Amino acid sequence: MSLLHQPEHVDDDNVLVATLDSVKVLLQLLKAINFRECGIIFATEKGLKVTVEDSKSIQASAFISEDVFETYTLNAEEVVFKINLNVLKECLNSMSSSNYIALKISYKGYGDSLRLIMSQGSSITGCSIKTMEPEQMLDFHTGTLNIINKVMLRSEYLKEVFNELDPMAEYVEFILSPNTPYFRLSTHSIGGDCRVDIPKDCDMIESFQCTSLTAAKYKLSHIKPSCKPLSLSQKVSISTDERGLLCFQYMIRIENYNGYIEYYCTPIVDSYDD
Amino acid sequence: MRFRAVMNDPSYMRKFTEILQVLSNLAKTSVLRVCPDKIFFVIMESQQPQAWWELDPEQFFSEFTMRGVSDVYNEFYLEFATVMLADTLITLKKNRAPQTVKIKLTDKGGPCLRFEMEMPVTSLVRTCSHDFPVGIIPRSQWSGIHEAEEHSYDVSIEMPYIREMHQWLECFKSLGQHCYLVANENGDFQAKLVHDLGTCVKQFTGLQVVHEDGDHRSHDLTRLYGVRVDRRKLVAFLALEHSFPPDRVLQCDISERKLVHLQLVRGDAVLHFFCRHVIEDVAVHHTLIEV
Repeated sequence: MSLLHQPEHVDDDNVLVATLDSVKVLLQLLKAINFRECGIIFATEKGLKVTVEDSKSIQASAFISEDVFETYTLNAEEVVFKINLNVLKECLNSMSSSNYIALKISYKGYGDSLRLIMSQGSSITGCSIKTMEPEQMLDFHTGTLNIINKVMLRSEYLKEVFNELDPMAEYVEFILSPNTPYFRLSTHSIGGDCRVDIPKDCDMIESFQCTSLTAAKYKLSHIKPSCKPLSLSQKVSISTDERGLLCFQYMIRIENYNGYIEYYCTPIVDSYDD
Repeated sequence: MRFRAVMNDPSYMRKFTEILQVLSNLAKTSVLRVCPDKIFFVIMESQQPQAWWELDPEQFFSEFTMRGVSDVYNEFYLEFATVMLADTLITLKKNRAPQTVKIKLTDKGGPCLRFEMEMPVTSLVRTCSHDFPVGIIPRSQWSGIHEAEEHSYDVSIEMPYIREMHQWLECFKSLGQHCYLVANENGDFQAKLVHDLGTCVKQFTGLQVVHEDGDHRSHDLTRLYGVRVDRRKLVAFLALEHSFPPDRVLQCDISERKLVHLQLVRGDAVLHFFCRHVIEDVAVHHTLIEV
């Protein structure tokens, strides 16, 4: 029996069935966090969450709420699997050529492949993508309860600031404070020192809630993957906790839907600090 | 060996140049095979023909004379650099194209194809000549160039959705180097990628089946015949479809697990693509997908 063959009467076997009339939202959100080949997909009644993690230091999650889908049915409490995001992206891309499509996504449960099937005038397109055992991911949410500082700004401004950062530097330091310098990013490299100070009352800042000084260094290579969701978003909020865990939260609007990406980055622990 | 041809129709001059440009995208060298009733431009790959253009000289030329290497073998084969020739003939595409182009096989210290272009300049006529060096291919190497023509196939099907198939195939980089082309005598056709990471299929139904002798080849019309080919080569071939008029049709001839022959018909010229089956580690069973 073909991997893609799925007659109507066995729909009950699926733990997840959803239909979409446009892949744009799903595809763009996936592309924004695809800095590793594989990711974990969590399906809950609220929708899908796709998480990608690298070297236990950075983690990005894209949230696709169930209202993005035409129909969304979950026949289990929770569905989790690991999947090759490059393949998923290519499959979704291959189905995105026309404006209106009727794409059905289904999954039967542990061990089964994720199936995509689309019927469109002259042709039927089908994909069956193997799923894998999901790995344990770090749970950064415990950090959000102890947020010390939070700044919200328009993404285009933060993008400009990030573009100014010295690409030869290994680390970037983030300083957030209720007093001057308020919000500072600085880098040091053989090319020189670079510093960007953003006062709290400047135009680019939409809200500024800082309670005490936080200063932490992050590897520039860990911050770089955040540029993709930043480019896609309209607004971003930056928050830190007492451990220096950096959290970017991106508000994204695609085709009348609100999407959301979270990006966590752990600080460098400098053992030579005095 | 003798070859002389004259072109004075601007639309055919343009088509001729376009064909050469298309060939120059496929390979650096090409073989020109001249027969009494046909002309072929052949692209070789590992001593096997991969693609070839078949032209009717009566359509393209107002005058055409040739003589092959002997009376028995009344044809000849020349090897030439495709990009150089395509660049040389670019003037044929322009608005102020020549009114006449004469092509002649000559000897200028070595075999050459001479292109003489007569261009009108007010009341005067200016002649521009290009002597283009070619290599003569000895008869011992001929059989390797046209062996693909004689073969019987399990199924032949007409596939009009070339652009759709090309765009779909171009999307995949992670699912391996190969692609299956599958068809049956019921008018079903599939392009399929099979890999450890997953399987993807593009399926078309209700297509026209071509019968050579007016009859079905087998009694089971639903039996699927498949062949596994190099995906990148197939994509490069299908990319040529944009230089074809919208009513062009792709005929796909499949010989189960042996070879596939694709023919893209452009009215007065046929582009052929030929690919042998690439043996897989595990045999794949072909089935149709249902929504």
